[in-house]
Amino acid sequence: MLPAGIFYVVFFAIPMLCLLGLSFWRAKGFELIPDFTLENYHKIFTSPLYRALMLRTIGVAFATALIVVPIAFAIAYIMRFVFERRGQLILQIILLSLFSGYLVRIYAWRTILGKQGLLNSTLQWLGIIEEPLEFLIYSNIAVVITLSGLLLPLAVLPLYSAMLNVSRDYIEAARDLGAGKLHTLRTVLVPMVIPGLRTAFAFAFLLSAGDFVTPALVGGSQSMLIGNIIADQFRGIGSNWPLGAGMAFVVVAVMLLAYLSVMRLIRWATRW
Amino acid sequence: MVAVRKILPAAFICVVLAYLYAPIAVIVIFSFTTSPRLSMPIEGLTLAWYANAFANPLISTALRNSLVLAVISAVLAGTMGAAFAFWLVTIKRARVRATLLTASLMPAIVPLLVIGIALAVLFRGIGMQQGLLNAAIGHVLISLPFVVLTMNARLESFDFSVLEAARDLGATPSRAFRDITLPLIRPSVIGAAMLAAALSLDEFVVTWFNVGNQQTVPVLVWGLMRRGIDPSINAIATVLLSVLVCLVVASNIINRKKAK
Amino acid sequence: MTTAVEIIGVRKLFGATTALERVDFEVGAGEFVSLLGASGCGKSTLLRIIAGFESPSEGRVRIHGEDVTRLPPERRPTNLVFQRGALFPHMTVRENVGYGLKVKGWARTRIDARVEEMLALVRLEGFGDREPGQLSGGQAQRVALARALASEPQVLLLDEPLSALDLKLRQQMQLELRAIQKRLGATFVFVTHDQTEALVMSDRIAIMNNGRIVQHGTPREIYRRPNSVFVSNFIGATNLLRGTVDTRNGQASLQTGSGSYVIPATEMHLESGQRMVLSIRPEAVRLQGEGARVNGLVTEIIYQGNNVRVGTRLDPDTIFWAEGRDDEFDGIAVGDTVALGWAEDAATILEDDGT
Repeated sequence: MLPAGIFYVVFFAIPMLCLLGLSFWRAKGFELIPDFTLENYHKIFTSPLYRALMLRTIGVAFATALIVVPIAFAIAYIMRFVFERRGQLILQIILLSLFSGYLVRIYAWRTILGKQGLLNSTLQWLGIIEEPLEFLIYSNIAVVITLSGLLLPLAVLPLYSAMLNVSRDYIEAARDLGAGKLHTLRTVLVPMVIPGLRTAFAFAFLLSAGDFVTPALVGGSQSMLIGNIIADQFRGIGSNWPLGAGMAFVVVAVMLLAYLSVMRLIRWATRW
Repeated sequence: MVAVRKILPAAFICVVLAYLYAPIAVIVIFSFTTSPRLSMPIEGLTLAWYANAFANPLISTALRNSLVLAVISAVLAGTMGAAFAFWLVTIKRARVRATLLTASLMPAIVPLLVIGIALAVLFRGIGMQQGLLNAAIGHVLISLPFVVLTMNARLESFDFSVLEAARDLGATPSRAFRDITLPLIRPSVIGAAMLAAALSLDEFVVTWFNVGNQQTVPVLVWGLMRRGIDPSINAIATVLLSVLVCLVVASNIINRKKAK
Repeated sequence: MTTAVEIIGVRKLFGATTALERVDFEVGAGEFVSLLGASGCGKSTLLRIIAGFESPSEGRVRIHGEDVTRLPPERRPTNLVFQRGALFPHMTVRENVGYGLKVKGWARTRIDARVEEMLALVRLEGFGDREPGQLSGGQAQRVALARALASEPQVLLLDEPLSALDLKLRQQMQLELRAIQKRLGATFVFVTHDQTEALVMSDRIAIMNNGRIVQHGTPREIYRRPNSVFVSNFIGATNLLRGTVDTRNGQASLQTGSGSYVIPATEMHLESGQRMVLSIRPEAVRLQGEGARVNGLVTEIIYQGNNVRVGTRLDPDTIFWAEGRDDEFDGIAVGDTVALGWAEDAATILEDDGT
């Protein structure tokens, strides 16, 4: 246990604290100047650009989660309660897509959704459309479609394992006591898989908020997310590490807040 | 009757699988087509993009670096994660155990971007030049949660009374570990290590912030992607894809063999 | 007595395997009926068809005259007590018991009153705020019973609800269940594999084997007059004497390897040469008893406290058991030869179905 424990502390906990500390420093050119200033945070909260990016990030993350979690729930439900044993195999196939190249999958969506990409050229070839659909690429839609594909397998996993713990008896007991299918879903199944739902939502919501590769490849200048700006602060021209560090913490904090509110909402909606 | 009930769900699963695998299929198919643009209809087939890709002078460096990182991740994350998981299951108090497990999974939940920049800040703070070593540490860190998770699942079902039996029959603790524990958990450790290798081979974000001017396969691919559409990306991607799929499938099979 | 449940020609196939073969059966209102059989005999499938969780491949189910065959479980006037309770873990005992009422749209105060009434019925007053995880096995099953009874189902279905409990508790719960059923005058259909449980609790028992109901009747009828070798073996212990019928002397008798036995009066038509089985309960067998007689070599004496079971060998293939009070067998030892007898009408003649 010791090596891993030390490793976690030195390369995970301490870097996080360093990042937090750095967010109170200043940058002068490429130089970092130790300080204790709220200047970075002030900038983040007052700049209309950052605020717009933040809002767009929340919007995209929320849209992604809203697509991913219901689909993942449906898949998990089907695997658990319709296909039962064979559900395990379907799960393996779904999870395998996680290991098929992160960059590659994003890039593939660009080639599918592009102006002269696969989807448009196929539709034109089939004569369904005359002009290529331009909203498909370099747009928020492209970002959401791509992120959903990336995160869906991650969201299926916790929901499926949560449902494995729900005996069919509970579903049947609710039906037997007079609850319809939807009512059973809302008052029995969903409350019983809340932990899985929470993790699935966290994966979809938090990880899409932190992704900068997807907007960089399939989202044009109009659909940059806060992650792109943060990445630029660390590996771009005119980089500013302290500012980037501050942004990272603001994103995480805002996302956590948004996440907790959604969880509260789910709990409220499924109280019986 | 039974089949009818399952038609709609099966169709739904198929649509979702198509959604997940369409991008991958596209890449593989278009790595063999003559047209440099990815569009329909397909005109002809060629292996030129593979030749093209491997003519890139950076590719051999990138491949070598990626393999080094993968091996480091497999060995370090595999052993450290396994040992950690082993220590976890010996904790008697369920709440402490659950908390530690959750904590050890944190690097999988924090966005990679944040992990990447946090490590960059640390390394800059201690004056460590960006490079392969920095990237390797990042890879081990993000692989650890997956190793801990798979090992933990295996050990939860591990019957510890076999160790007591070995002790009862006269084996010392280290002897019991060597004779009993290790053979029983080795497949899981190897499986988890292969998973770590796959994660490392595919890792881009943390690498990007810490590797400096060095190349890895994903970093190289990223550079090509930024420059625009280049069919040799499809070729490299297909190769990477095959390696990853082999690793993960093998890891799964190895893991399953003894889990029964 | 009106009919509560009618099962009309119900068959159930799972793929290629047949779970139920054309079952016809009726349960009267206010009756306590047990479906008794070994696992895989189809009793649970039949119960789940009544509850609405499985739909029959053929046939109909009626409840109080209404055809419910195509109704989903939530719209049937039945409630089920699950084998392991199936109490919703995220709800308190009170919420569990009130769930069905809440689904029905009852007012809060009415639900609360009803829940208290139900908890009192199962003797769990004051347990309303407990979580299911804090209950013992017996308490959990009582809550499951209260939950199923709360919305006054026309038929209560019970799927081996006591099988997970230990013997003492099980026996106590059997009596309680029976008392509750009598007090409410409700119709209970109870599935069990435990013949003692079925005998103790039921007004009527239906014995199932290979997807069929092979015999139904009161516990007494089933025990005293089994209609097949299977039933006589399944309910209680019995001695089986196999042989061929001989009707030559005007009095039918069974010729076996150990001797000839009188066949008691029967509605069956018997012909000489027919292969039949005579079933005699061990407790009907007396030492030096009246009626039929046979000599046996004592091979085993099993002391059971209140009773003693004595095993005797009649011929090389037949072990014959006698059971009675301790003092009846005083002075007998292994190796003794004893004369055994039974009242002629204590024996039942059955077709030899090879089981």
